[in-house]
Amino acid sequence: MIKKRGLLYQLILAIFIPAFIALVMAWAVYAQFESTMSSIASDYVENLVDSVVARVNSREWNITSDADYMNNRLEKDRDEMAELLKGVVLPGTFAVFSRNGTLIYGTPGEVNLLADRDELFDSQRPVKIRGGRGRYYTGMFYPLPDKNLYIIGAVSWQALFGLMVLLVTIWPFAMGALAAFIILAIYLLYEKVILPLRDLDREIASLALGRDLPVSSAPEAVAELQKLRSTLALLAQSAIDKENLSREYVTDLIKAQEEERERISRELHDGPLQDVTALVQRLRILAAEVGVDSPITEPLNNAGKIAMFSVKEMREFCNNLTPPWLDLGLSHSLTELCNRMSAQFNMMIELDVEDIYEEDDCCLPPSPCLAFYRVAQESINNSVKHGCAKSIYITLKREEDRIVMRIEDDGKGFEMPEDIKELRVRGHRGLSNMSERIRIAGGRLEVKSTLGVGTIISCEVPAQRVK
Amino acid sequence: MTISIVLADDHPLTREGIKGYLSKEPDFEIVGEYADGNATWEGIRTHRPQVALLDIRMPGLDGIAIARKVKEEGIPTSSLMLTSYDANQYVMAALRAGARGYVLKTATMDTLSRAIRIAARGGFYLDSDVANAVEEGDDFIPEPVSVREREVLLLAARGLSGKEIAGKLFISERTVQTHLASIYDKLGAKNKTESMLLSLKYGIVTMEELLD
Repeated sequence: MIKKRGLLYQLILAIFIPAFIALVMAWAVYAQFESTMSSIASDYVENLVDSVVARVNSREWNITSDADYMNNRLEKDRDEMAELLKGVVLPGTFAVFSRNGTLIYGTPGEVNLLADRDELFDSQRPVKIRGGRGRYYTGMFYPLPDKNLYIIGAVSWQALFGLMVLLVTIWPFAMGALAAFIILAIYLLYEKVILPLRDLDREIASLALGRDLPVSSAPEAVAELQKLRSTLALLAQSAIDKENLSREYVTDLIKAQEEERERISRELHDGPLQDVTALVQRLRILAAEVGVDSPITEPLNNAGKIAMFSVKEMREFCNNLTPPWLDLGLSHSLTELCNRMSAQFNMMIELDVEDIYEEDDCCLPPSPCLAFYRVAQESINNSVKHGCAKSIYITLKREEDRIVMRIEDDGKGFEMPEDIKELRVRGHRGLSNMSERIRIAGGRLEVKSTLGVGTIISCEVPAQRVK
Repeated sequence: MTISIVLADDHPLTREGIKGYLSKEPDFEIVGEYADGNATWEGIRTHRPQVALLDIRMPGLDGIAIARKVKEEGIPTSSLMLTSYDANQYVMAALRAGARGYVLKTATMDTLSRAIRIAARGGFYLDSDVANAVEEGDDFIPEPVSVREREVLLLAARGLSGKEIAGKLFISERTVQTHLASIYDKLGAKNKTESMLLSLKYGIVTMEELLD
């Protein structure tokens, strides 16, 4: 059971670990990509600026910052610089500024950006900046102080890497979403499948079929598990119904049997037994009337003896069926039973009835009384026939609200299966019948047996006040 | 001097038989015969006989209940159980209810007559078929029991367990068992019930002591 439960956790781990590794690897690849792209962009920008600087340095410029120059010379310088720099390749962007910030030359396109953001590119090493709407640029600033010029070069990541930029931008979000999704999935799996499955498993493990009814709904579980659970509940219910039915059947059977025995016993006692008793009386009266000397006295006496024998036999028969003395209550019945069986088997059967057990005050209704009686009878028989016991010790007492009987022998003992019902399967009906009788009376019976030491049968039923 | 008798038995044939027995004794007079418990009780109240022969199982009141009522109401009638039940526990129950004797319906005419005469004198009679441990019959005289043994017997008769008796007399449980075994031996009894009945029969204890 523990092993299987472990497997369930292993399965979760089997989902979780690859997902986690994939996320880490994705992050590593992302970081690698990012840094590679950054360095490529930086190299590109440096090369671009280097090449622009080389070209600008190839000529002598006389760029001053006065306004007059601005009007006359600038046009010429601009043209010359355009001529000089037009061969520099795209997709880079660059601009040459005079020291006071006048744009002298810029590549077409995004020069405005460079002009607007020249303060961002204040480093002589390439830096990455964000240009809004997911655009990135890498750019640098390069001063030429002797010529009163400075150059800003930049490259748009989008122009340089195309779709890759978009991929790198959304990659972390995609990974994050994926991670969240995996965690959610695992959580749901745990909450809706694994936990309910474990509950169900625990419940099944401790379920006594025919007695317990499992909880029939588990609203948090997945539909299949709910279905499984309600099927289980249905099965358990039918097992209970079946058990009840068989209980009722056994109860009816025992009741019918006892009623029949009692009826036969009573009819025998009130009918033939009385008739033969009357016959004995007649024979005796007749013998008295004919006198001792008559030749028919002896045959009459012999006939009387035969009739007497018949009376005793019938009386014994009645006692074995349903003893009339059961009317006297449990403690009297048990005393009589022990006395008789002790004489019959010529062995010691001792009965101890505790003083607390007051026949008049606390008395058992007939049915539990009969159950106890039959248990004692069957136990003594078993002890003698199967256990070869030498002595039997029976106690009857009241413990709080229960009446408890304990039958202890010093016989051979036997191996007791875990379930008394198993004995019935193996053909030993005695113990199983005893247990049924006590159960029907609302009590329970326990058997403890040790090989070579003896057997103890204890049973108890709730005490009830009669009247 | 005649002995007045009420006879109660719901079985007509055995009732006839008993009547046949009783008619052989000239000093016995049957003042009433009944087939059910309630009528018997009325008969006893009306006739107040010296002896009432009572069957245990009858329609209406049973014999033991009638014996108890007789005792409770202080009617000077000796109840004598006349029954088919040979169980000692019935004897005990009858004696506890106040019966002066216990005779089986299959008893001989002599036995029944003796029982009736003893009961009429206020004595106590027990059919040897019920407590028949002693083969020698009614002439058997048991070995006398000791004072201690008598004490143990009386406590056992009141329903105390071996442990409880031991506690009450400040002796060990084993000693209690030894005393009981000795009593059984002396009386020829096989068990507690029998030893009680026999000790009653032999006059070792009185009914009053036993039922105290």
